[in-house]
Amino acid sequence: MTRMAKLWQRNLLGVVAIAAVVAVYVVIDFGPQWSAYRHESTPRTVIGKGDSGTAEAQTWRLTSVRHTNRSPVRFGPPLPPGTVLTLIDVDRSGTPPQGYCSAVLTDGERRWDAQGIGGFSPIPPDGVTPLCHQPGPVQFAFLLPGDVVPTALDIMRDGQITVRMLL
Amino acid sequence: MKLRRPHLGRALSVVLVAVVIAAAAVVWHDLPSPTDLYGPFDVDAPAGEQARGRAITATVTSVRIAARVDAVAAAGRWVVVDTTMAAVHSTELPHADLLVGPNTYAPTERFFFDTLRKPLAPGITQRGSWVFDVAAPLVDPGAREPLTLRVWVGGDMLDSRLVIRIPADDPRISRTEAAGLTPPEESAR
Repeated sequence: MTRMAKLWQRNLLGVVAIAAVVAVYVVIDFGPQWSAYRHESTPRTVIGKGDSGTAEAQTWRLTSVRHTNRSPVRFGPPLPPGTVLTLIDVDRSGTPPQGYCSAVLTDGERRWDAQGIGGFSPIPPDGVTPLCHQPGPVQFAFLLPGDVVPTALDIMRDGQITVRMLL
Repeated sequence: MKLRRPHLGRALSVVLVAVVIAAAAVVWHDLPSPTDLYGPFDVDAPAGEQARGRAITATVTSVRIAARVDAVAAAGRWVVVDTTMAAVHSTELPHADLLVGPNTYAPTERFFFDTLRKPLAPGITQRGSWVFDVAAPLVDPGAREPLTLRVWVGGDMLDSRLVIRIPADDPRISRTEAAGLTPPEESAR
């Protein structure tokens, strides 16, 4: 083998070794960050309309969607003009993971957070919680403009869509 | 004496390295500060017109300067900035401050339930007021300092920030001895 050929062989091996090291570094170091970033807009799990599915070691099933144009609480102000309150019941079993989670309703373009304490959330029936991070069946309330047609309910944790339930 | 070709090449390399290092040093000493690098992108708008950023919109409709608001006296003067706001794509919690002259004022918490503080939702406008306690000489009659309301969401890093200029002689500014507040009104119409 000539001297030039040996040089090229050495350089090629060097490039392959460096590429392998960079690839391993990217997969190990950036992989989880990239996954977290991607799931800010792409759900980890999608559950079809009327179906049940498993996510975060829990089983989820959206059981009802109701709309009302009157505030469900006897005290406090009426709903703002032109808005409706959408109440969504989700049957859930299993133990939620540690940490805070929240619910967001989307029409495919825009996103609305669930009403918090002090908002227009009704007091749910016994055995049903309005809080995402508590175990058991859950009820969410969303204040929406009257002309919005929601398409999916997203459960968010650490900014990521962990499960999407299609309406 | 004539330089031979290898010597010429080596000298050229040395000169090139020196030039690159010098250029790098110049750039290094002229880098923007971290606050410029990660700072917000200002979206300017005059009072009366809608300012639209990535996350929210805001329109300043009037400014009321008063010694008392809802019978509460200010340490200086209350500046009540009446604003109409909405979110663009998703529910957002707005933050604001007011620049007057060399000072930056945070909204007062004295009128907790009657000021803009709730999250904004897409398609649902909120009409309400930001209230600031501003040093009297900066806003009393004859003062020439413009008011600048800045509104943003989140930590404002690498995101748009609405910057609404209100000149001191803007006809939307009124001065009264006392002003009143009403809770923010929401509407989807």
